[in-house]
Amino acid sequence: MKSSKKEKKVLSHEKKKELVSSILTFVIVLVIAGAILSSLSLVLGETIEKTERQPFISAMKKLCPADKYEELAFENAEASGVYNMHVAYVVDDIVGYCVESKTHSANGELRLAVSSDAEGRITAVEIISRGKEDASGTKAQDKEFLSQFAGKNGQITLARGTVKDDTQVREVIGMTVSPEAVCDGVNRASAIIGHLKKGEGKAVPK
Amino acid sequence: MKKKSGKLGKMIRESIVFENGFIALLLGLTPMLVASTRLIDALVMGVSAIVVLTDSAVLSALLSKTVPNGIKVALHITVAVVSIAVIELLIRAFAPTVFENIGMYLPLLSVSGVLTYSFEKEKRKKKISGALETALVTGGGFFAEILILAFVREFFGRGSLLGFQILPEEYGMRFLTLPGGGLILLGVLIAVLRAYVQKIEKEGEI
Repeated sequence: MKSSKKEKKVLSHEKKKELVSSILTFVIVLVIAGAILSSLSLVLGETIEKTERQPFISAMKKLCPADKYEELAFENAEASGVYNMHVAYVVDDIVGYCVESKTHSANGELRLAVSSDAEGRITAVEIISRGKEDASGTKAQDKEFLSQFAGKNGQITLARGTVKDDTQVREVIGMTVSPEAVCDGVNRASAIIGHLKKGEGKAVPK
Repeated sequence: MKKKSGKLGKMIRESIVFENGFIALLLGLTPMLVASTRLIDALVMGVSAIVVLTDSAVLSALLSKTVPNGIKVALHITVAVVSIAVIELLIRAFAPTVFENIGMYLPLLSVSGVLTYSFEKEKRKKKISGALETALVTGGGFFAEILILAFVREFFGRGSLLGFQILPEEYGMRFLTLPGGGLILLGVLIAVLRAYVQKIEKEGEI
């Protein structure tokens, strides 16, 4: 009787020992994993930021050619999903604005580069990234849809059939992205460009 | 030499047909279907699978004597999760387009049933070389299958290979790039492999 009690005590002591060693091993592994990941994030952080910005910078140079660009900051821009706001100069005159607009569709995040002239009229829209594209559509249809935004000003709505006035764009069947999401992104960008045009943006120090 | 090539042939056959968790048990289908629409995405996903399976197998085998039994599975999965996080950071920094396409599905590899399947098989092998062989066989099989699927889906679906347009885009069979097309192709691949198994079974090779 006594010996079985002793055996039970030894067993429970062994179980406790195994539990403590399991927890300790796991904590050590987690600490090492955390250290590896955080140091790698530190090393790659700048490269990731540059890589993510690069498609917008290339699109901006194509859509809004200029001598120099100045990055601007605007208080509520990020909350509206608008980033990388730039004003474009030729010599010392403002020739336009270019911003990046992020919006969400069923296929994931959609990133657009939206450029305007100095008066805030949209000159071009380009898709920077489209998340998971709708494989049944084609990029040619995307281009046809995006070309309708040129020359528009203010809030734009989507027309299912024929376009009634200058504030509407016609839906194109067979696109790789959602037309609603594109419209939403362009409208957000257009609203922020309206503020920048009034001089409400602050220059970001380089 | 003959013996060596025979062993290699057996390993290749095992990895692609007999001991392949993906084909035999249909595990890890989501990453396989998602990443097989383009060859470059498939290459990255395949290499990621090999890396994850290999390093978690090697580390688990190395620590198998010191780590208590209770946390071996947890440790195996933790190593896989950390490996995937490292791979994700590297892809984000150096291949942003690939990250856009498959980034969302990469973490699925670390919790895929294939990992547990591979772990169960490795448990029976006490040496590091044995665990490494099992991981390479499973990962190699995934790599080969995803490459076959991606080649067919990209070439016949989009008319391109590794992003280079070979046939006009409009001649592509677009349904192959959709999930349904991927599933049908996978079914065909499984049927072909099973027919091959039956053939060599009849010939008495196994």
